[in-house]
Amino acid sequence: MGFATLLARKGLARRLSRTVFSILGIAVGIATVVGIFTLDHNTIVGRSKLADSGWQAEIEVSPSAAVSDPRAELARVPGVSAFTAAFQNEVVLAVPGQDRGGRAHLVAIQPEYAADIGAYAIQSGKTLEAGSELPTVVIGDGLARALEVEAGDKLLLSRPRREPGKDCVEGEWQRRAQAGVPAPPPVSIEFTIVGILAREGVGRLSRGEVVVIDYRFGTRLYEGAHVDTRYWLKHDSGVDLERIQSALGRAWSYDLKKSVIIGQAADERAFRNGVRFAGLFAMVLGLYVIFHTLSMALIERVREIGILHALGASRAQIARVFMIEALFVSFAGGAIGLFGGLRAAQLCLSVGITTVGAGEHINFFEVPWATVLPLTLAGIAIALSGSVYPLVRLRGAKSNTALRSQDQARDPAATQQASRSFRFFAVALIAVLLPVVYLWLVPVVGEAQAELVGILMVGLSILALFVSLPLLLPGLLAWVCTHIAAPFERWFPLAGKLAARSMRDAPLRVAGAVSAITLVTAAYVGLNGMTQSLEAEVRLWGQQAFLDKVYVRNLPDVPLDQLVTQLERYPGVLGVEPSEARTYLPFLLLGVLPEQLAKYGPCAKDPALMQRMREENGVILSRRLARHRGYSIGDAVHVNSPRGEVLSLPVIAISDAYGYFPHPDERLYGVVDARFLDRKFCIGTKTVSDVAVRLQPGTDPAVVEAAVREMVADAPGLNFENGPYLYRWHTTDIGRDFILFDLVLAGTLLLAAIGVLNGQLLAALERAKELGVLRALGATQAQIAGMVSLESLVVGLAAGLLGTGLGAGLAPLIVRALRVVSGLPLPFPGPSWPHLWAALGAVAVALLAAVYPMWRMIRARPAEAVRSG
Amino acid sequence: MNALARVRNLYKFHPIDGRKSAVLTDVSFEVGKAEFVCIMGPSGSGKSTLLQLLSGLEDADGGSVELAGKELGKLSERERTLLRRETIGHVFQFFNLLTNLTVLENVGLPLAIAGKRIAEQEAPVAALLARFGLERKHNAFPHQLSGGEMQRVSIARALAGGQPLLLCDEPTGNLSQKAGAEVMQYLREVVDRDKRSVLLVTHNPRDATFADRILFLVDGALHTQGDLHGPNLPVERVHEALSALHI
Repeated sequence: MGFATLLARKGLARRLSRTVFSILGIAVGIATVVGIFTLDHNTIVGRSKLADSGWQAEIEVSPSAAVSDPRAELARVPGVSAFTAAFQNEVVLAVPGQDRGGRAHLVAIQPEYAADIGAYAIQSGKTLEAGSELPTVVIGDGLARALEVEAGDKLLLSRPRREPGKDCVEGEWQRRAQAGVPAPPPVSIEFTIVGILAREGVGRLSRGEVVVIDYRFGTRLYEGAHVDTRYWLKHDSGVDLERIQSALGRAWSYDLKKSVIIGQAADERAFRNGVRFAGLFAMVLGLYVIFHTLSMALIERVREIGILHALGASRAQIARVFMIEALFVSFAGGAIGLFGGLRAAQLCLSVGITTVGAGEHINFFEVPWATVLPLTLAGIAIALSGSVYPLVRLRGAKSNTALRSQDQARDPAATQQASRSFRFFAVALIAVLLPVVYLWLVPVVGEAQAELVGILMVGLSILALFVSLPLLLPGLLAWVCTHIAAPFERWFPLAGKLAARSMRDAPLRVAGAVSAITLVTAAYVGLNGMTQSLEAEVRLWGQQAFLDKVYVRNLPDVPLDQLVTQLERYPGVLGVEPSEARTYLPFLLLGVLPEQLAKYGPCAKDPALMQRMREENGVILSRRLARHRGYSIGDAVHVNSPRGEVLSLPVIAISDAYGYFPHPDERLYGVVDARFLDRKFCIGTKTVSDVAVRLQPGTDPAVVEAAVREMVADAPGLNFENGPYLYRWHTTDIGRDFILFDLVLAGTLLLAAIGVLNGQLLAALERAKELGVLRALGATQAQIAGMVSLESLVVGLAAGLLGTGLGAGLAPLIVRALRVVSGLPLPFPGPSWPHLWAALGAVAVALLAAVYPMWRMIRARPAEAVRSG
Repeated sequence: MNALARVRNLYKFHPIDGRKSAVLTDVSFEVGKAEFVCIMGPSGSGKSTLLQLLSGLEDADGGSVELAGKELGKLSERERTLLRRETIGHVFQFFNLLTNLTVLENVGLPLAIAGKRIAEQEAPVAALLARFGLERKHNAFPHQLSGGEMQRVSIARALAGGQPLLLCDEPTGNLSQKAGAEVMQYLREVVDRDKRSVLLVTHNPRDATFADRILFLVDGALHTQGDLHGPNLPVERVHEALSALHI
């Protein structure tokens, strides 16, 4: 074995604890970011796969009558990267001169834009040519097989002869003929097949039994018949969906492909970004812990370098020794971190923890190698740089002082200079380079709005400061700790004196331990503040939306008017909202009886709103929907009716007082007159199975149950949920959704503990002689343990106080960022009990992390320690 | 005599309280092949500095140092390191063994630095361990050895590379009388049996009696006091010389 390998192996083995904990520190940091990114990837892809049931354009829109030039208007909508006009219908096929034919799904599209939106791909042959005068067609592979045709063959396409379709007319489904619409005559056109579709995009429709033609020939084929032309849009991923929806919402109706919106809702984006930043935090802390350990270990290596140099080892040989050590530790940590992170992501998915909340199981797992490998390598590279730099720096240090020095604790000037230089290097690496690299590899989800970026930069700067300060000015934190320890000397003279002196003499170690625990404490307090804020928002929202309501489920199709009459007999009942009348166009629209809203909410203050609901089809939007889509009172919401007409609904109020139902839990909705839904969509509310009953504040919710049971005493499965119960349900949901953050926090806590432990182990080595002398002079093991415990207590107290203060300062920043991203009116959190738990927790972590080093110190044999040279 | 090491008009200054203070002043001497030279002087006289200048670990402020015919001041840092590897073995006062290596590995370290494979190291290392009575301790770590044993390991290490010159800096400073005498015997043997040169710095008159020639370093200047040639010089003669120099 070569000299360098021998020394490297021996060095790692001899300092086994430190080697193991260094590898663990790197591994936990990398595992956290790999796990988070893999979890996020599989959350989005997995849910997308669940949502996708065939092919659908990302966004499909219809212009209202107010849109004179749809193409020009769409070109101006921010976030629309491409679009095409299209319609779909059924078509009759026949192979000329052959006894083969059938029916297929027809898609008429503008060929010049089809490629831009990725509508289809060609398996063989050519694609449709834009502007061609000859009718050409591309057909699905399923159809090609069924009809035994190929590119170059002819195909006759005809509009099917069929009965006129039905329309909802004033609440009744009527045949179009009855409504005076004549049946159009059939049209046939001979097309030339120019290509066969691949089984993707529209090629997946109808199991490949699909034909795609130029939109111009499509309108010719269906001339005289009703054709529902839509526009298919492609969404620019750098633009938030809300912005597109807001721009479209004025004059267009639209429908979103579910996979596009997965993970893109404002609160989901906030959650996902929060999780990603938690990953960065963990990686920073992990590498910080390692760098700190390495910095402290410099002193120990100086002597070794001096001896080797005196024996004739060249600088390159010495550097090779440390390079091999660094490579082993970095790559071992990276490999363990990579596979540990992937496994952790798998486990989270299997128990229903995702990056958009908890409770949904996703049976899908793939590894996004394109990102996790660079992330892992970035972590390894930074760990390697930090491991190698100080030792490469020191290899040029003069050996003479080291050779003469008996006391390993003495710092030659060169060592101090190298240590300082390394600390600047470490700050540059983990406080600047690492966040930049991380954010480049794992970008912010959604638009990087200026305000959000600004808030994030402030937050990152504060964290960077707290990472940098103890590295650059270790004396500052050590001074704080020394003064905290001073009073203890009165009650514990030996332990107090030694602990204070130890902290004064090892400022880097103390500063590292304090700042690692401070960061984790701050993260805990900050996150706690965020959940406090979210719970407060739920309370504020709930006061309007559900706290004074009772939700009745599983009624046996009771006539609504009878139920209302029954409930109104009981004092305290203000109104009844049915759940039955609902449609998604493109958001949830609920139908209510306006007269039932008269005694609460905005209708109680302005009775004219009820009239507007009845006469103008006015819609009352929930606050969240209005904020997300940028609606104000006076705007118009455009929806498509089954007849294809675009209906314009004026926004008459914005309030959460009406329309919320917990099953399903939807906070983006609008409320309209139920009769409007009946007339235009044939959705009736004559009988109901689920209702919400609004009560006067202070009314006993039991009156609702009494009233309902009086009416339907034996109904099986009747269920009553009141406001306080729902409030607890929502806040429990928040806690459950944030389990992922708790897991990340646990990982960072482990890292902080490793940092403290490593530092104390180094201290044990540095102070072996001192402790040996103390024992030789008669100090007991308990006194030695007391000294270590006191030092840990002081470190914990300092970290707890600093961390709680920092976290209390960070919480408003986090909440502000969340406000920007989610649009929710989140209140700022105040001091609470978790602040105290955080401070006490910091003390507990510091004490626990010192247990193993303390054990090592008290079991060292004094005779050996005194003799060591 | 073909000198193995030659020092001419050597000057060395160290900054003390912001002012340059002379540690060595116009020091000149030579060490011949298979010669045992002892330099005596009180603490702070510049003995250790002289050894470090001779081994190329420090740069002189004036004069020249020649090792195996090559002037150190004209060599690059790498060339000096290689020259030191080939020419000098070190024996330190505080042993300076690598604490994470066993006795066997510490002794074989110079061979490993020179690029010798394990198979090539085995025979010479085993011979050295046997010579210094360390066979049973070959797997022990330094903290498991006595002071005398550690110094024996240090001497064995200094001989392992076959370097012609051993620089010994107060090798008995941390040892008992008996262990110290034992170490000096080993060093004498290195000259007589292995025909290597030894340059010993010490303030112990007993150690000086093992040398072929004794020089005195007082306040940075070298004195040759009378005709002090050994070995086996009576220790009283050494004391006389020290008294004459008011040491």
